[in-house]
Order: sequence, then C-alpha cells, then structure tokens
Amino acid sequence: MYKYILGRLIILIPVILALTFVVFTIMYFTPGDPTAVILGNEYSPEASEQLKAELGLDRPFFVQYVNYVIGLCQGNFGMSYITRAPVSEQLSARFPHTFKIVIAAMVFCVALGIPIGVYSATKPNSIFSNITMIIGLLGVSLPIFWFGLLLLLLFSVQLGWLPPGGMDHGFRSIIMPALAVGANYMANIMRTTRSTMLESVRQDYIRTARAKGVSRGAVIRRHALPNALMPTITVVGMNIGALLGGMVLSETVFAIPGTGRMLVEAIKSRDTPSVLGCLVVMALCVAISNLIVDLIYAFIDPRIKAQYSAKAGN
Amino acid sequence: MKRFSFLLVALLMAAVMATPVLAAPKEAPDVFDLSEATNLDADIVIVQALDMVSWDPTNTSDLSNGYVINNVYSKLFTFDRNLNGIPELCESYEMLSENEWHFKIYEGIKVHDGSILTADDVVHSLNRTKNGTAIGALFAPVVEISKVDDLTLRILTSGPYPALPTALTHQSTCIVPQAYAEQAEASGDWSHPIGSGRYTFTSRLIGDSIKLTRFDDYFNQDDKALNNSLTFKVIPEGSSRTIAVETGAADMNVDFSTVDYNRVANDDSVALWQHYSQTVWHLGMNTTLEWFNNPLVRQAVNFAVNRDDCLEVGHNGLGTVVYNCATFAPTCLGAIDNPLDMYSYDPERAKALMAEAGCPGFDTEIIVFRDEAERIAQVVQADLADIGINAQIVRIENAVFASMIAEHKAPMFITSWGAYWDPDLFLARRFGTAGIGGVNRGWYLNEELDELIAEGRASFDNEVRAEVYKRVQEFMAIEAPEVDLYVSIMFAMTNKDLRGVEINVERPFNYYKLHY
Repeated sequence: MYKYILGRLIILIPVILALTFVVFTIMYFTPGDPTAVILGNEYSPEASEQLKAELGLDRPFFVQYVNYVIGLCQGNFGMSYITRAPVSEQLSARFPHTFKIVIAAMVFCVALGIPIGVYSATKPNSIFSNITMIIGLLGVSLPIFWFGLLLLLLFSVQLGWLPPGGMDHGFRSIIMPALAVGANYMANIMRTTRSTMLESVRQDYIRTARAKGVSRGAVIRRHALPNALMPTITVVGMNIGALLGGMVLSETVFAIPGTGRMLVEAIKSRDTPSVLGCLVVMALCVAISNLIVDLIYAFIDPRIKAQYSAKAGN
Repeated sequence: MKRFSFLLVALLMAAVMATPVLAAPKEAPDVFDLSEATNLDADIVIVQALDMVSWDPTNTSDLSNGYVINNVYSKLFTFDRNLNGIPELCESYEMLSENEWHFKIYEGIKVHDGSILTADDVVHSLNRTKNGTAIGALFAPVVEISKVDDLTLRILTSGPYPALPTALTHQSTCIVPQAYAEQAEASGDWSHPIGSGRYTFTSRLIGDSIKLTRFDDYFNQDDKALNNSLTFKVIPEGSSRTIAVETGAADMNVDFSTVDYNRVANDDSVALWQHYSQTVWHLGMNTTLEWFNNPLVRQAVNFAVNRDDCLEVGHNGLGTVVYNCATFAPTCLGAIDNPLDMYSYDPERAKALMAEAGCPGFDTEIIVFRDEAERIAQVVQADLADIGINAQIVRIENAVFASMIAEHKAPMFITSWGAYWDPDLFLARRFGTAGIGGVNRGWYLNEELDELIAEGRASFDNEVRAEVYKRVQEFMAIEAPEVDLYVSIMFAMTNKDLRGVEINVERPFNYYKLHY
C-alpha cells in the first residue's frame, strides 16, 4: 500500500513539470507583457525595455524556463514581476484562506448532500424527494457570482448576521463563500447519491436481505449505501478541481485574499511566476485529493485494497 | 382592450410616482470645523478595488499604490485637489536660474526609526526615482540632483520646467531614508517600510489589507493625522465594496462603482460625496493609418459621435461632456470648453466632411479594455455606422493594450486619461515625440504643435502659458487627433457620520483628515 502511495507521489513530478512547461509556454506566447501594467500611463518603449531587462524578460524562452525550473526544484517559486516579492511569500499568505474555504465547502456539501441523496432515494416519489430534486437543479444552475451577491445582500445587508467579506471574523467569514462555491458541488453529490442509491436499492441482494427480515434502515446502511457510495466518492474527488476553479469567483465577491483571486490578477497582469505558483499549488491539491479518494476506495471496498497491494507488489 | 390599456397606464404612472427622488451627493468641503469633531482617535477602514503593489516607490505608478504609500512616506511636495504641487517636506524653494532649483527641507524631520531626515536622504531617494522607470517622462527634463548643504538640495533641468514642483508630487518621489533604502535594496525586502510620513507601517496581509498607525512625531504637528489608524481593505468587486460601507464593515469606499449610484443616493445611512475630476474619457485614432491620417475624416468622427449618449452609458450620465481634442479637462490651465466653437453632435456635418475628404467609408476596429469603454464603444459604433465607418469592437486586456498601440494594431481605441492641471505634464507625452510608441497612442506628430508645447513650457507666467495653451487647443480642434468625450465625476462613499472627506480630481485623498 505504501509503495502504491509512493508511486503515485513520484508520478506527480513529471506531471508538475509538464504543467509548468505548458503554462509557461502559453504565458510566453500570449500577447501582452507585465511592463505595460507596471508602467501604466508612464509607459514608453524605452522604459519597457529597461524594465524587461531588470526582470529578466529579455532572455530567451528556454533560459527563462530552465531558470524557473531550477528554482522550483529548490523550492523557489520565483519573484513576482509586479510586486517583486517572492511568490512563495504570497502563496503562503493566501493559500490557507482558499484551503479553509474549500475544506469547509467540502464538509458542508458531503455532510448535507449524501444524507439528502440517500433519503430522497429511499422515498423516491415523496414531496421531500421532489423538493430535493428542485434544489439540486437550482444548485447546478446557480451562477456562483450571482448567488454570492444574493447571499451578501441577504445575510450581510438585510439581516446583518454575517460579515460582508474578508477573513477577519474566523468561521463566520467562511460560511457565505463556502455556501456560494459549494452550491453546485452539493447538488452534484446529492444527485449522484440519489441516482446510485435508487439503482442500489433495486438490486436482488437488497431484496434478499429484506426477505430475510433485516430492517429497512439496516439494509440501507450496511448493504445499499456502501455500494452506492463509490460513484459519489468519485464525484467528491473529481470536483475538487472545479471547487478550486469556483474559488476564483467566490473570492472576488467576498473579498477573500486567496489563491483563486491571485491567479486571475496574475493572468491579467501577465505575471508568469505568480500564475505558475498558483497552478502548481492547485495541481498538487487536486492530485493529492485524488490520491486520498483512491485510498478511501480501498477502505470502503476490500477488493480494491487487494488490487492496490497486488500492483505495488508487482 | 381599453380597460387593459387603462390599467397599463395606471401601473406605469404608479411606478413613476413611486420612483424616489434621488438625493444629490454632497460636494466634498474645502474646510471643516474641527471643533465639531467627536472622535479624533478613530480606526478608519478604507475599501479599495486593488491591492497596493510595492513599498518601493520607484517600482510602479499605480494609483492604488500611491494613495497608500503616501501615508508612510513624505515627499518634497504633496498635491492639492487639482494635483498641483504644494510644499510638504519643502520649507522653501527658489529658482536660481531657469534651469536651477534649490529646495530647502524643514529641520529636524523625524523618521519612524527615530533618526532625522537630511538632504542626503532626499538626494539619494530622488536619484533612485530618476534612475527608475515609474516616474517616466515627468523626470525627463531633470539632469542632476545634488546636495547643497544638510538641508538644501539642487535640481538642474535641461531647460525651463515650470511643472517641476508638480512632477515632485508623483508617488515615485516619495522620500525613503537612505539607510533603509540601501538595506531594502540589498535584501530585496521592502515589506517593512520606514519613512517620515504621518503613519507608521503596522502590518500587511497581501491581497487583503494594509494597516498603518498614526506617527505621533510627524514633523508638522499642525497637520498631523486626525485618526488613530488607517486600514486599507482590498475588495475587487464594486457592489461588495458598497455593501462593506452599508454594513459598517468599512468607513469609506474610495473606488465607488456608479452601478450602485441609485441605491446609495437613496440611502440615508451612508453618505455619497462628489467632486469634479480631470479624468478625460476619449476616443483615439491612429493618425498614421489610412483615412485617419486625414484631418477631415478625424473631424468627421468628432462630429459623428454623440457625447451625451456616451456619458449616459459610460457613467450613468454622471459627468460633463467635453468637446476638446487635446485631453484638456475643463479645469486644466488654459482649458476652453469648445475650442473655436467647432464641434457639436452633427451627423450631417460629419457626412459632408467624409464626402469632402473623398472617403467612401471603411472598416475599422475599436479597441477597449475596460467595461465603461466597452459600453461607450457600442454608442460610438452605431454613430460611426451612420457615416459609413463600420467599426468592430475588440475587447482586450490591459496588459495587451500597450503592445497593440506599439504595433499599430489599435486603429481606434477608447480609454481615459487623468490629466494634470498643468498641460505641460501631459501634452508632450500625449501628442509629441516623447510619447511615441507609448502614451502618444494616436501616433500624432506635428512640428508646429511641438513648438507650441515648447513655448508653453518656456514661461513661468501662468497667464502667458494659458494663452499658449488656448492656441494649442484651437490648433488641435482643427487637427482633431482624438475625440474627447466627457469628464467623469469622482465619488467617495462613506459612513454618514464620517468627516474630513476630501476628493481630488483623480480620487478621494488626504485620508489622514478622516475623523468622526
């Protein structure tokens, strides 16, 4: 098992290198340059050239890229072209905020989405089931930006219950951004759980268990749910990337100083080291969370655990 | 059917009657009575759209950066509401000749680390500014900066430069004590700035907030901070900034979005302040390209565009329409409303000029990179279509704009320019050789204009200069290298009880005066 985990972690190295190369190439060949942003109304071709030389942007493509990769291998994410401060400094200041909200959104969505999905599957034609279907549809269709502003107007302006933005109020600061970014995520979990549970409860072994006198609740808990959970866990894992992508909008509406906003600002200002820093961290998050999901499979399904061990042994 | 129509009319009337009359924003006062103050130790929270960039003043000319670092560092000159230079560290100054200026700083100016600021610090700091890129053309005439004695420095210029005190208000002229600057340059760490400004640096959370605390030993005790601390919060989204003030999470929004104007103007729990600006929104043309190299076609474009409509869609009608072609805001030195009384919205005259130029119409592009500009472009597009110019709107990012200009890929463009009161600080860059490939985005060159600009710079008498600039504007009305559309209004949204609000022609400022 440990060998399997180690193998997966080692695979991350070429993945990250490929990612940096693709992104670096795209940023290099995308029109525009950071000196235009830095100089603003003081822009002139001469000043731009001077600044490019100071920032090392006058060097050939491969020299710039190789220098970046050498730095990255030493844990150095480079210096931001705009702030001229280390990117790692910005990432360490910003990533914890994004991480907290993503985790809160995940916990909230899993804790609500799975029970609701299970319940509505066990009572498929009830009013509750229909209501959850409508909520699920709304959740999938609500634009994060719009939903976020609605939450702000309701909970901050009208009711005054929650702070309007920033991260100064501890847990209260996290609630609305997590809700806004998680609505879509929760709807996906809820819908997937419901449909797989509907499939699961119709299986012969469920009918057999009920015929043998096992209670309805016990059948669902012990037999139907573990089998139905596999696709749900896949959705939970696969959507972490989408959740991180959604943070760009949520962080903008709620003024959260996280990596999502940093990424957008960096792309706009062609700040390649900052863009790469954000994407490397996000890619690591997605890769590690997918690894965790794979490990959870093993805990839920002993057959998968046996496969992992066999692969690692080979 | 009749009954339905009656109901419809009744409903419409009810809707009109129910529409509240908007309260006009208050004009930010010039003076305020401190005896009415209830709290001179408040912790003031200001929300703005963008984070600051760097504490190194020579790094950027970004506005959001300047209005933060100005509180920690002092400069020889600060600026008034029209962005004119007024002495700050400078006790006195004199011109020994047209090219030589002497500036004397106050004695005993305390720095945040307890040391005393000297002429050495100022000379070192201004030389960093001169060698950096952020000051741009403003320091181009500056030849040498040197020390005369412990309190006096000398600045030599290449020729007469009456706007030098105003150039010395630029954020990159913030005075950084030499010892700290050398240490920060060596380590590359500018994260804990030390200056001689009204506030000391307390903390910064990148992308979120900057906190500054009153410096009680500020050298000018008669003009020290009227609050205990300033916290700048970064909120990129316009409505979220409005909500921050509405909910009491912030005291002032310095980047008010006019999208929320109706809601806020109606809200008694907050205050909206306004001041005229010198931000000129304009439609530029690349004067080297076919047809735009013909002044008659450029004049036709000036007649074809309905500026009132542009103002309505661009800034909800909040501003003043202008008929200038040289980026003169109405409050600039020597500005005239409509040079030669030449322009108005007159599509028929525009068509006649197109015919006179022998122009059958053509296809072109309007480059924009801001939301307001994109909205204005739609009006311009429709207006130009009436005279046979088919313009396609192309939305780009800010970072791409400069390269499109440099590569002649922006035949038309809509953007804004924050004009100084002194036209010498923008004319040569906007329409002369100094700005070619840079902010002379229309690639307009004319020796006659260059001579007029030099004539305006040669005199220190503002009446004489105003007369020269009148001639410049008349000349440019005929040449028509751009279509100035309107000047927008500057707003500041605050807590209703906040006092000491001041707005200049580009932004709310002098945050040290904010109090309750």
